[in-house]
Amino acid sequence: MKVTVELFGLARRLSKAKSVVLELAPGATLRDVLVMLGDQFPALLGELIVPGNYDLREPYFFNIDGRRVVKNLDEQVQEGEDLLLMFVTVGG
Amino acid sequence: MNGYMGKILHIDLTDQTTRVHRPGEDFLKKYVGGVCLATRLVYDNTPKGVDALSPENALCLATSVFAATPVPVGTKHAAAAKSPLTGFITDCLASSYFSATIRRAGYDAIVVKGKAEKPTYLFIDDDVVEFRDAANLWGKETFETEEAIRAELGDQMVRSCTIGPAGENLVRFANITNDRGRQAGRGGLGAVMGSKQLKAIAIRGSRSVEVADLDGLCAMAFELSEKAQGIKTEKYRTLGTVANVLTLNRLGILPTRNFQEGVFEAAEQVSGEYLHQHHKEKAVACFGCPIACEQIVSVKEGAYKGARTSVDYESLFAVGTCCGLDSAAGIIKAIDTCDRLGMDTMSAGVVVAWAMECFERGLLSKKKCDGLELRFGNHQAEMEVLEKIARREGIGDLLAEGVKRAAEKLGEGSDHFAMHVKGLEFPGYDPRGAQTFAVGSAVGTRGGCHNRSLAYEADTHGEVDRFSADPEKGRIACDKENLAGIFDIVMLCKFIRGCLSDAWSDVSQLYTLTTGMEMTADELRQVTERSWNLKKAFNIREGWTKEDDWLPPRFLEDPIPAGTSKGSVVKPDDLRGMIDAYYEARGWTPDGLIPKEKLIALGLEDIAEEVGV
Repeated sequence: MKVTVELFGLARRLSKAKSVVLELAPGATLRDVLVMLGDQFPALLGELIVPGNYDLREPYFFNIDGRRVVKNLDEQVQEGEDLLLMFVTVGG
Repeated sequence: MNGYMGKILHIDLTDQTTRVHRPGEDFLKKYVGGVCLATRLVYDNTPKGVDALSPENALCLATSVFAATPVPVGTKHAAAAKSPLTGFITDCLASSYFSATIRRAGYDAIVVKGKAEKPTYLFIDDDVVEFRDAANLWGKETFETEEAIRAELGDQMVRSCTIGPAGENLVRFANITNDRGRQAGRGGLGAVMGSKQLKAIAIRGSRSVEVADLDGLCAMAFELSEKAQGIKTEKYRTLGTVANVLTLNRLGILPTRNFQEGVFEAAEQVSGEYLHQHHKEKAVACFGCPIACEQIVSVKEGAYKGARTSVDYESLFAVGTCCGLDSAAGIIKAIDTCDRLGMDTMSAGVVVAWAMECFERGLLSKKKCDGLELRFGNHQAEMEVLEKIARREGIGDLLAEGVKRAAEKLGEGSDHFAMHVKGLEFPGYDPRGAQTFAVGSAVGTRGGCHNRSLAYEADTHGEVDRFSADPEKGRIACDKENLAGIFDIVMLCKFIRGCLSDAWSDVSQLYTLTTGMEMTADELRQVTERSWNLKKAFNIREGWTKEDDWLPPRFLEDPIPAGTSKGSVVKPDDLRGMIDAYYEARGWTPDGLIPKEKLIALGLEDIAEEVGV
């Protein structure tokens, strides 16, 4: 199945990509997405993605289709979803 | 006295007198500083019911207890008075060297009342206060005023807060500027200064701030500074808050063309990423700040060559996407223009956006607009109209009143899309797709404001379903307001809060190390509650009613037409329910009034008698 990851802020700056389409096996999770992102964009490892366990460093998170924030990286992704890797600044 | 200078300077411009009040430790611990102290001073020094532009309206500056100490991001001051825009309290935050110099001159706060006979500026030189002729400064822009004062006094160490032509001309959203680009921005405090014929307050100070436990404070400050240079502030340091443009656009809540839409088709070309790549010069920091969020951008070619300013999200949305501008250079020029003329970019942008919609709907003719084609996206027209506002020329005279009064004067149903709360123009988060912010912004004591509420954080960070409206959001809005409140009282920059383990305990520990006065987290919570109730009490005294806590009709009647938040609207019954829950969380009556016993429990017995029920 295919999903689109949209990259914002630090993720975009490090990857130099606005978005990327990933081909995933059925049942893949958000953590699997991070593994693939780390492979494709090694600059994300350490800065944004924790090597080894592939956690996402705070304050970044996934927003599914712009409508729902998911913090549990073991949640399965669904065909056709847009996964926004983002962080909204506060104050200022 | 550790942590405090122990003096409040009172200045009367009418008879050119000064006096120093020494408030004592009990008073200072009770009100701490910043917004809470400034509000108490406004309450005590501004008589009930006075016009905000009258000599009786007291302009109060109150510093952070951490200003000019080793605590990072804590050198700030609050400026507060009755607002010429709202008729209620306006409390603004500004920072940097001017804030530090107030303390170095020996004061925790300054209260200015009266009206000078002629244009005047104050020079506070430690214990000496001079009332100086400002005839040669009147008419100058903000930055050049600051430089002219330094030149006149012959000392680069002098720091000033100034007003520009907008303040002199009583534009109701004129601001006060210090340190070339820090502003007490919202609610028209620049007009309050202008009404007093006060062009600037210049300060020079030679003292240092004593702290109770220097070693302990330095250790904690150093740890905080280190954390402040990690990933939790990365976004502020590299792109600044303008990073929000693309994320909010994707969420469908980026105010576009006067909040008619939540998606801007040209967001990429006005985004933080675009500015970083094409216009950024450098990032600079306020006094004692390890983050350096202020993004300095400039225009190097074209019609706006030479424009240079710092840019943040709220300014960008207001003069940019809200006005349909797809030109980054145009946005930089518009912000630069507002800063030099001394106007709040947020209010200026939103009132211009309203005028653009009026023009496109045929409610304002080209003749009425002084020949300008005031359409969305016309950046040349926007630049001209900003100048006209500051000088109250032609159409600018109407817009200088702020969007609420302008819509009342024009009529024709234009109040439907006059985007304000209590008269203060709305910030850059569309509440139709951020329902916690719907209640947070409706109940705000200074009007349509993102900075005092922080409720949108719950929506955008996924703490709640941002599209649903349930009463629980009223309680969350109250909690978020309290969290914002503590930062505004001790005046730590909110950008550092992700670096704190627990805001209440960390801040209370910093306070204790600074002052030597034991402050527990619970005591700090009570100070925050005292501060919010003080602000509300001031508003009640000035005529607030429940109807003032509400949103503009557009948010209640016009669903967002496209994008991720398509179809979202704030339903009036839902909003009413969330507001009721907010009042309950605050311990107020169903009508939003404060019970006497609540005020007494907060140590506000005198206020309980005046406004309590």
